[in-house]
Amino acid sequence: MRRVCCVGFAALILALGLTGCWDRVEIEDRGFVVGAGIDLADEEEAEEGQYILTYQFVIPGGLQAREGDSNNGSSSKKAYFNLSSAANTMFGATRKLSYQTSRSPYLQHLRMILISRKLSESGELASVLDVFLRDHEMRRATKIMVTEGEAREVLETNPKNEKLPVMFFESTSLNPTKSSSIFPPTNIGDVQAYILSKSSFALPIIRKHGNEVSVSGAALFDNAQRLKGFLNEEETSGLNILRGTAKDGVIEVRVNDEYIAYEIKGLRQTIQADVSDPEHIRFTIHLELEGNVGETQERLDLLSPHQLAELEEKTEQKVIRLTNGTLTKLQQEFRVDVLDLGDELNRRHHALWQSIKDDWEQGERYFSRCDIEVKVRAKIRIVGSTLETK
Amino acid sequence: MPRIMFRNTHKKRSPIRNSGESQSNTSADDCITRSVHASVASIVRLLNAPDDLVTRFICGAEGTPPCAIVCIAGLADLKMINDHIVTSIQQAYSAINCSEPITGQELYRRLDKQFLSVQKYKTTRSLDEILVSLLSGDTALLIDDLDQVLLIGSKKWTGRSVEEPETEALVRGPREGFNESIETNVILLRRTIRDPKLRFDPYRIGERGKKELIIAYIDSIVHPALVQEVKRRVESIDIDDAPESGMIEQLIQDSFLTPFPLILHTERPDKAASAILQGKVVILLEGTPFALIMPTTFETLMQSPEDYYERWLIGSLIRILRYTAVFVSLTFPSLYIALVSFHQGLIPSKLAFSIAAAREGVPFPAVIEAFLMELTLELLREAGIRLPKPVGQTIGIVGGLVIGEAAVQAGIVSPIMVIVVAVTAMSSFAIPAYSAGIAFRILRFIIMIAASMFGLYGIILIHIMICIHLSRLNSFGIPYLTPLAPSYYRDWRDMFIRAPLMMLSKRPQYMATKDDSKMGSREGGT
Amino acid sequence: MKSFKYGDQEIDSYEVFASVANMVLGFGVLSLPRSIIQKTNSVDGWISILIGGVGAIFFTWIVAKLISRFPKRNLYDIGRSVIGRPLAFLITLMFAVYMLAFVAFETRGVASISRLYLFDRTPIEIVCLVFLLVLIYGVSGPSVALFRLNTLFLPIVIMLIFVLLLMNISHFDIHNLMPFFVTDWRELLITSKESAFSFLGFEILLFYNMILTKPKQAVKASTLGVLVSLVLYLLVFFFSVGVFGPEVTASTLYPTEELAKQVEAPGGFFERFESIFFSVWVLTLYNSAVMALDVSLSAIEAVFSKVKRTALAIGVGPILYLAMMQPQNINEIQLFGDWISYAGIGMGMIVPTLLLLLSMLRGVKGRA
Repeated sequence: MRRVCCVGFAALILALGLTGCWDRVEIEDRGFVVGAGIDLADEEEAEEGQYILTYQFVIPGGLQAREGDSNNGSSSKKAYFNLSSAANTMFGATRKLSYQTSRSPYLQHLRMILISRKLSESGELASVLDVFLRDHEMRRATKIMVTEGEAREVLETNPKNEKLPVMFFESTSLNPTKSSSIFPPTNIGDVQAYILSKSSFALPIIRKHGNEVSVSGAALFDNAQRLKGFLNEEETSGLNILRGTAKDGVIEVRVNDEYIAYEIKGLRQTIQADVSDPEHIRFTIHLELEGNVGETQERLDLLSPHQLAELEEKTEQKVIRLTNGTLTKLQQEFRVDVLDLGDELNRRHHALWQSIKDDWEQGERYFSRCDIEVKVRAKIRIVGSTLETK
Repeated sequence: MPRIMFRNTHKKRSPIRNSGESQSNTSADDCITRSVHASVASIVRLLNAPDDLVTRFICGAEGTPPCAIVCIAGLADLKMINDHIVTSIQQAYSAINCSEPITGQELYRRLDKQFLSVQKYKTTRSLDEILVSLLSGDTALLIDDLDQVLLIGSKKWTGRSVEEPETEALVRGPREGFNESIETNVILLRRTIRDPKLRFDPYRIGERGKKELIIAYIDSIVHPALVQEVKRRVESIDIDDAPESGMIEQLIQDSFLTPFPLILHTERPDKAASAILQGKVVILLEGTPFALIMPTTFETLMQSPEDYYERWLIGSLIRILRYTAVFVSLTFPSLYIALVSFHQGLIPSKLAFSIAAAREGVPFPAVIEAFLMELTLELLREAGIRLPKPVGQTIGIVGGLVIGEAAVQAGIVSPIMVIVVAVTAMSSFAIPAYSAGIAFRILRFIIMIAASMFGLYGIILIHIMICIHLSRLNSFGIPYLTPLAPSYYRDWRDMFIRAPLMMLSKRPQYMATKDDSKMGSREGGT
Repeated sequence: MKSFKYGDQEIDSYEVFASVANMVLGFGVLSLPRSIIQKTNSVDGWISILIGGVGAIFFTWIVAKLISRFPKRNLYDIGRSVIGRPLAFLITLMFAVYMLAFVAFETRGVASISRLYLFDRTPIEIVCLVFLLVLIYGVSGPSVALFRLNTLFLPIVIMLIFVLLLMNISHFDIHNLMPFFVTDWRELLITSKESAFSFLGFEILLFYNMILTKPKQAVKASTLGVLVSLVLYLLVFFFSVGVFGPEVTASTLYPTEELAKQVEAPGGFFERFESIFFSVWVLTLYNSAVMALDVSLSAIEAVFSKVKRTALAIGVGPILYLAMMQPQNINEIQLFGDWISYAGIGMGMIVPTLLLLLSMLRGVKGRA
């Protein structure tokens, strides 16, 4: 009898579990959001809220290339659609979006967040990113980029060889392996680290030209997350080299009125700081480049050591010019330390950093006053498979 | 099977009963009388004069006591009876000098010492024993004026020859399997182990079946407490008949509340022999080719003799593959349910999109889909077993391909589900022990239910419960998860991998055998 | 012969090692890096962990010495021999209550984290209830089965931690570890109190003394178990700080889980490793909880010898359920945890030390 009671009791309790599998949402009922764009609302929209959030939803059926359907319906089914809504908080905007679609947004596959220029200039970056970092659904590896115009327009581009615009942006931005003027992709986890440590940082920029996009240049943010300015391609290239992240890129070196292309294959960067005079801190950035001769337009004897040494020297000079240009912009015009020099001081000269860190970029502006010297060593390893083509 | 057969199975195990000499339930006089005719008459009466009971009276010259031969045709070898027993008796009679008076005792003595050309016989006074022996195929030789009866062994049954076991076929290995005749099985074991210490202890099981059961072990290896325990349990079996060793298994196992088999069964003599050499006990039962091996642990369910016949690298990799197959067959459908219904974030993005696209038109949630397909597969399996061979294979192919394909086309299930179910089915066939495969089939459904309620959390909790359950199981005193759980490091060499033979030179440590080493330590041994 | 006793009721040193390690590794490791960094602000927190760990090893050694002095006697019997019956009664009951509170805390912790990382809408009550049912199932059988569970699960858990750390090596930036040796040693000492909380768990030996076969070996095995946990904690701490940097670690609620979130297998195969990580982590949390429950039931059984185990297990269930539903939010859970840690330091560290000293002074020893 007792056994029966116990078993019955257990069955009753277990029946509670059957009342609802609360979290069971089938995969086809999820609205996969693969990209997000955030804009500042302009005047007419501002009554609904200050932010405009655009989500790019995936239509999974559009991703399939089914042979059976080729006779009915066009083969180019759209694989995505964008929805926007305005609200005062990101969370509110997300909820509002669920009025407009049958499948509520599911953010676990979010790959990219685009912030518009205006929003970046307003300094609201941290507040906007808060929901993406706090909510457990997000991943820290979501990438973030700044758009030249409105984010929702950029999300509308129809790329030719990818079905989803956001995937296209992502793979383009992953091309720093091929070009040094693309700032490497940053994910929001790193941005959170920068925000918390009150450092300045840079983000890549994405621009829309008609139906094409280009990713190049860098957007500079100061330690209050306010957009200070953009760097153009050359300056971004210099920045990448200075930071040591230009693992692959091209430097066009002018030799005897013609150009040769120096392809960077490896880069090592070390920073040394001389803090003997706290008012004028000296930094020396040592760069060691390794590369190949990718293309020559001049008739050169590439096997002679003398010639190679000359090429290397010319390359080094070019690099110094490039980086000096970037440094001037960073120190004088924008006054942001995106080179992590402050970090370097924090690590090696902790006591000094504690005393000057509030004045690094503002106030006394130690950053702008310090001397940064760049020393470059460039080596040429391979000259290609032909010696002369002319 | 009528219920009456199990009348004593759940009672507390009774103390030792020797079922060979049970209380008689036949007649009042259980002893043989001196008169041949009266004795034969009582035998015939007790057996109710069946048609196949053969009685033959042989008389000699005047004054010599007659004798009678009783046997059951079909069970006894008539040719042997004629050639050996009848002929010897006739020779004995003709050698008797007519002048001497012969008593029954004297005739018996002469037959025994000079004439009877048979190898073995025993004598008895008990009518019960005579009846049992007759029904087993022996011949009863009754001599007038003698108060004993000779029971001469003369069994000859038609039965299967020694064939390859169907359920345990190997690529490499002997192609002999046990069959229903217990003598053949004993012979097969004797041919493999020629150790003088190999013991075969006989028992008779079943009130009405009286089948012969043999407990086989090697005296100088096995732990004595194990043999005692096995014997105690066998002796306390009290049923009408045991048609298959499975019944014996269920009556002597440690716990009936678990899906996992606690006693292993096999049709292969080499597997049984190697178990005996490990210090385990093997039970053979008349009438079934399946021998029982006890005790069993979880790892023995995953072992196949082929691991040892092939080289160690291959054996180890295939064993690891089997463990993977166990995991897949247990968890794959539930992982599918958990990932697709609860944790879509775990699936890589592109795969998630393609699964979502594939499931667009499917009306059922993933749970129902999974259950439907699994049930269909179980039905197909059951159906395939009972159909005759040519048709059975077709059904397998038809069922698998056509039904799956048609279901996908009709939009009832998604193609991913078909793949999941197919892979699960294939992995479950990779498990060597069929009874373990059944256990996993049951558990798979339970895990699917848990996954459908709580996703990954449910899968983990159910796995914890299964592990707790396994930790509590014992098989003849040995915990089921040996050598993993009570850790015997030396036995880890044969658990997940199969170490090279040179390293497997000792018997399993958990068996606590008397003689540890099986390789290399004896002088001149191999 | 060991293997032929029915229901093999004894355990040996590998099982002790696995059980102590599993018991100590539990809830603490998920939030340990944060609680240390919040106080020290730099990677020097590893020294606090080391101090806490060494202290824990010392007290484990004391507990093991105590139980090897009194073979096959549990806390109640030891207390009775050393300090007399009424005090022993009190201490054993307090121990039982402490262990029950520990179970409630662990379960609630599991529920709240799984709410965060695994589920969205499932109510906490149901998650706790299911966990509690599995706990009761685990406890309603011989204790030996739980030890075997530990030996099964410990390798899985350790492998999981190593997978986690190895896959994060690419995110590891040694620069995040600098600067070091900048924190004041006084702060480090105070912070080691925080880390000591994560090392509690070895006091279960006080009640598992009954089934140890070789109590002398228990000393070595249990200290080894705590040592393994210490090493794992240090590794996790270094990796958290190395991957995230001190500031982010200080502001992430469960840095270890976030480490799991970072894992990116090549080709995007494992995108959300933290769900898998947490699900497998539930294994060690379950082990801690079930052993604590088992020990508390043994304690109550030792004191009130007439009670039957299954009845006790089912009776304690609702009380536990009410207890685990009490904390309303994360702060109250933390507070609950702090109280339990203080109780643990008392019961696990101070009481055995006192008992050992008193038994040595009075010359009381257990019969072998």
